Amino acid sequence: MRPANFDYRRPTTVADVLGDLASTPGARVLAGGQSLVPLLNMRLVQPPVVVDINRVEGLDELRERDGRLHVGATVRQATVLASERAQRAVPLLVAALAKVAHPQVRSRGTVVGNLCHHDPASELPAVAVALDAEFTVAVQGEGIRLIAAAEFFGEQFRTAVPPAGLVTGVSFPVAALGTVAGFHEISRKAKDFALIGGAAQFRLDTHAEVVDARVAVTGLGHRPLRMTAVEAALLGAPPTDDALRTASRLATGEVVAEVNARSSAGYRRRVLPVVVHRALRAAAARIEVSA
Amino acid sequence: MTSARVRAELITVTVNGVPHEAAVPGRLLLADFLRDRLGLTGTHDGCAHGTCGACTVLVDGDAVRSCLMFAAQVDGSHITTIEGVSPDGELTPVQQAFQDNHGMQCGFCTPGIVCSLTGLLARDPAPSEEAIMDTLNGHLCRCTGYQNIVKAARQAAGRPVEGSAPESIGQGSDR
Repeated sequence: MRPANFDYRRPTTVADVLGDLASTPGARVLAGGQSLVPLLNMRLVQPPVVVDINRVEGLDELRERDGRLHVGATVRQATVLASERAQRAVPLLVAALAKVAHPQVRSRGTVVGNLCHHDPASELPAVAVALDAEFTVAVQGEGIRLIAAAEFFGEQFRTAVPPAGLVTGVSFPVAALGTVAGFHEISRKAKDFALIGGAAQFRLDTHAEVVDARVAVTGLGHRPLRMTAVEAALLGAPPTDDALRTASRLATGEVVAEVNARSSAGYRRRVLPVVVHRALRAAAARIEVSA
Repeated sequence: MTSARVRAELITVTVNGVPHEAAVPGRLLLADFLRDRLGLTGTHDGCAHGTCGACTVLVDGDAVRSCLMFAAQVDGSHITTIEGVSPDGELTPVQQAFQDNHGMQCGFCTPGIVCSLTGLLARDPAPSEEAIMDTLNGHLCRCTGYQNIVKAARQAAGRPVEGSAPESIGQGSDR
């Protein structure tokens, strides 16, 4: 359980990272390392070069700009989870981060790294899809490419990042005042990988009716799925528990059996509306405290 | 890359207050550096993929898995291992709490847990029950001695030792 040999690089600029990635096909980017290093230790990946981006200037910034919260590629999950600014700006991201691993992993693990790893059971891809996150990707000779979350996630463990590209950050729209968010997941035991997880966010207008509902689910298939029928059904009505439950019954999406060995496709299909309902209920429970 | 010569990284790192310089290959895990190069075998190597928590140490104050970091990455850092949690050799409040509550059985998981709790209390001397449980969730005890570990953690945090854990333990908060 030790990595095969590789050449370790520690550049300090994005340009040098891109140079290292371009000069060695198969080179891997090391950020928090909480997904990559287990793969290295088990020799499931044996890259010739590992490019450590932790000392690249500017990638550790967490800031609001132009109505979006920008999370740099080396910003730790623990940093975002503890950030009052992030809690106010993107409450769904913070709600999901509380479900990601534990403090000893979140201290190193990064938001961007989790998204780029694209484990089909991970919480954060559902948040990215629900909120229309946008990835900033640096590509040598091309400059910066923006990739929308809806186009970012490919089959499990794959993304739309081009070869030798570097994801320098991800941004989320800042939530309007009064937005509430909740995340609910089912796992076989405490803090284990989720079998299925639901992300939900909405806010109330002046008539206390739901507007801007966003719902997505992770763990069903290769990529996180938006629950657009649920979102549509929630709009324009007060978020009573009956209304949330009725809307949740519209949750649907393709379930791919082989992406999750811990639970059957039938089980995940069965609990899908339950998970969506509980995520919505977790969001609704925040209404009073944030009003 | 069997044909290429593997480069060594030169690092300077302070471990338990003692500065060290070393040349390390990129693939050398921090856990192995601490155990094999520095002889600090109190850091235990359990699963080597981040699940068990036995190898947890403090890097610049943060509890981290030393099996999921490379020695080359800690250049310039300050590290505390179980050997360094008590610079004066007296039992720290965390260690004393483990002794008082019989918070260990075989002892394999203990160094990692003590390091995690030491880091938690350094940041927040009066952590909530939820914060304690969140921290302990990052550790496996194959003796299943969790009840006494929880008691020890509560004592170290200045909380009532007895009491049942809330239902939400292990599930994180629904915020």
